[in-house]
Amino acid sequence: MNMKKLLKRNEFYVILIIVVLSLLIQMKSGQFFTANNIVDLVRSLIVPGMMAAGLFMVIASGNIDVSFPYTAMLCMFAVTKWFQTTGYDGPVIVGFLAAGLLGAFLGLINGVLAAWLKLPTLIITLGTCSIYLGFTQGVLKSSVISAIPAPLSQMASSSLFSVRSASTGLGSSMPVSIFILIAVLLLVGFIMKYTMLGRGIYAVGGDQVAAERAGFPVAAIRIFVFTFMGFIGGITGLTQVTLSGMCQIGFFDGYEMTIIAAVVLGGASIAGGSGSVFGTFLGVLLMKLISNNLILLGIPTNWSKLMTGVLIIAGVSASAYKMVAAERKVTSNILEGNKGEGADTNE
Amino acid sequence: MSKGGMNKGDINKGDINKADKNKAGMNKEFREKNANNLKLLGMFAVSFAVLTVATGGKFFSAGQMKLIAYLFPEMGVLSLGMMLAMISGGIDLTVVAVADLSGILCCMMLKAVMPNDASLPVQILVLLLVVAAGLVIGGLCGAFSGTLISRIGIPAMVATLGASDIILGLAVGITNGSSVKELPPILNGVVSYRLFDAIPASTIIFAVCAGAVAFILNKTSLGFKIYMIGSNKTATRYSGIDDKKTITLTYMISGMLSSVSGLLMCGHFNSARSDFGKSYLTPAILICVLAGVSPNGGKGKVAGMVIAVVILQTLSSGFSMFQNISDYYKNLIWGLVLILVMIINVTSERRKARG
Repeated sequence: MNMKKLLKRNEFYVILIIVVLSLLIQMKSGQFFTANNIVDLVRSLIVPGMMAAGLFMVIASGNIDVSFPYTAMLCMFAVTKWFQTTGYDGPVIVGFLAAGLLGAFLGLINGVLAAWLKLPTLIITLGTCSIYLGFTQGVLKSSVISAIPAPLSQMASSSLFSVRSASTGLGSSMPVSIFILIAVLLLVGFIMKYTMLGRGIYAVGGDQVAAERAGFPVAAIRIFVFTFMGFIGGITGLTQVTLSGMCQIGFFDGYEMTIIAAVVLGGASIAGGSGSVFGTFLGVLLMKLISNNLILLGIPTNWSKLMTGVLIIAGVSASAYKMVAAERKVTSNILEGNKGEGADTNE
Repeated sequence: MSKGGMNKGDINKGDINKADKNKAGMNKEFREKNANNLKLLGMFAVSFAVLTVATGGKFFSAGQMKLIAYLFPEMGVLSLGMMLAMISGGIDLTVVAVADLSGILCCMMLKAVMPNDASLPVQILVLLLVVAAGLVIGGLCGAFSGTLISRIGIPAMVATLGASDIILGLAVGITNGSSVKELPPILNGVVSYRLFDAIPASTIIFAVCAGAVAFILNKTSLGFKIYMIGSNKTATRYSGIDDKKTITLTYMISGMLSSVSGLLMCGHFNSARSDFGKSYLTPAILICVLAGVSPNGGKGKVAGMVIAVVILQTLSSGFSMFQNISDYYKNLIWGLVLILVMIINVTSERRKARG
């Protein structure tokens, strides 16, 4: 890839910021490039990384989903409770399958409603997220499960390798679920880049009417992205259990905001039709880098919410302003009489 | 996705045909125009009757009515701001954050400024000054998100989502997440004051706000422009209307209303905290959708809004009379009602369009 092209890519700038930020943290604390800090960082990427990959698809198709943290929460409690009450003691994969299927069903509800009602998906998913939350708290009567069933706790205690930092004596281990994250990222990357479905998702997000005329099944694509998001959400819920060794209702509080911020920071336009799974992953990395090291950067934790907001606005402003500026150029072309090219681009 | 809907929407979608008002067939027209309101009144009567029967008549008591009248304004004023944003084709997710931030700042100001042994007129004067400051804070917050939407061109949903994090982040940062307590008694005194021992002051405040919003929407050019922008933004811009200014103003008014709601909440709880309004966002959107405000913009009336708020508060108070319906089920019910109302609205609109 030549230099000029590289400078135009959003990913390039995100990587630049990440490198500068890590050097800054290293300089300030001297603890960034230690083995256990890196492993901790990767560990904290697993859950948000998976969710962001799913949400990237939804956003690329021009929709939005705020219900996925609650899908994850519901699936987490449902499967753990099911294991608990039946005394299940088989392979853990069954749990992941069940969580995925349940999540996919909840996502399907979102998708069908979105395709049918044709209303802003934010409002639809706000409604369903309220339902999922109420169902978890009211029907499943769950808030905390501290003793998790055997198959899950086995997975929680197994790890790929452990590292210990020589200077501080702090140790961390790499969980097995890192493979789930890698699989999800590869799957989303494959779908978006090499399949007709992926092209369709970008097309619908870019211009719905044009996609419809080009013969893409717009409703089906919309249902698919929401179902897929639900599927990932379900799996993520159970992954979180194996990571933390317990279930808690507040695990995914505020995730909808941070994950949307991460996807947008990664270069996906919120209006749909652009972005890449690699960029999304970088966005998550940047978000986590900041939120994990706020204290090292000298920002009190009470201000972390403010930081998320500033990041969202800063990330979106850049891309949105580019679009407005382009539009203004077209308009001024029209006013100056260059109607030939201006009128085309502006309908 | 709202992009597609907005481009397709036509101007006559908003019922802004004032000229038709004086024509023949008043009765039929009245019914057509107020179909949604009549439907809402019917819903109100049914839910009221069901609750009265289910509680064995206990629901229909003076105390209960007073409670409803006391509680609904907080949510109502918040929803009025949300409604304005939704009519303009956007959405204002900052309402709760603005209410919290300006509530906190106002309470801190009130504590700092209020002299210890002031007479009643002085106290009221100080309170009025603080309320004015609160309106300025709300207006500034609204101007912030309005500018992000209109000048920088961020979609309303993301802009207000981010702005809400910033505003709430400020609130959490200022208070460290704890609450502002030991307020001068005047705020609580005013909010819980009852005119003629019956009408709570908060209801009067809500009526004033609703009246102001109705006036803006129906009688001023700003209101007309808000409906126009919600119906078709591109057409509005090409007809020479300054859409940027209008959108910024819309969100500023929404911010001011949220600020009023924040003060009502502080008066009600007699303290301020950064997570007071947390559970109000979904109900506020639900009220708007219930009131017939189209999420795609260009449609919505204050009258429907007022009935929708009362319905929601009636249901909410009704549910809390049953011991075995916990607060958790409320989330479930609000979500279900929101989805159901949207389905009903969309299907009936499509049937109308076909017939």
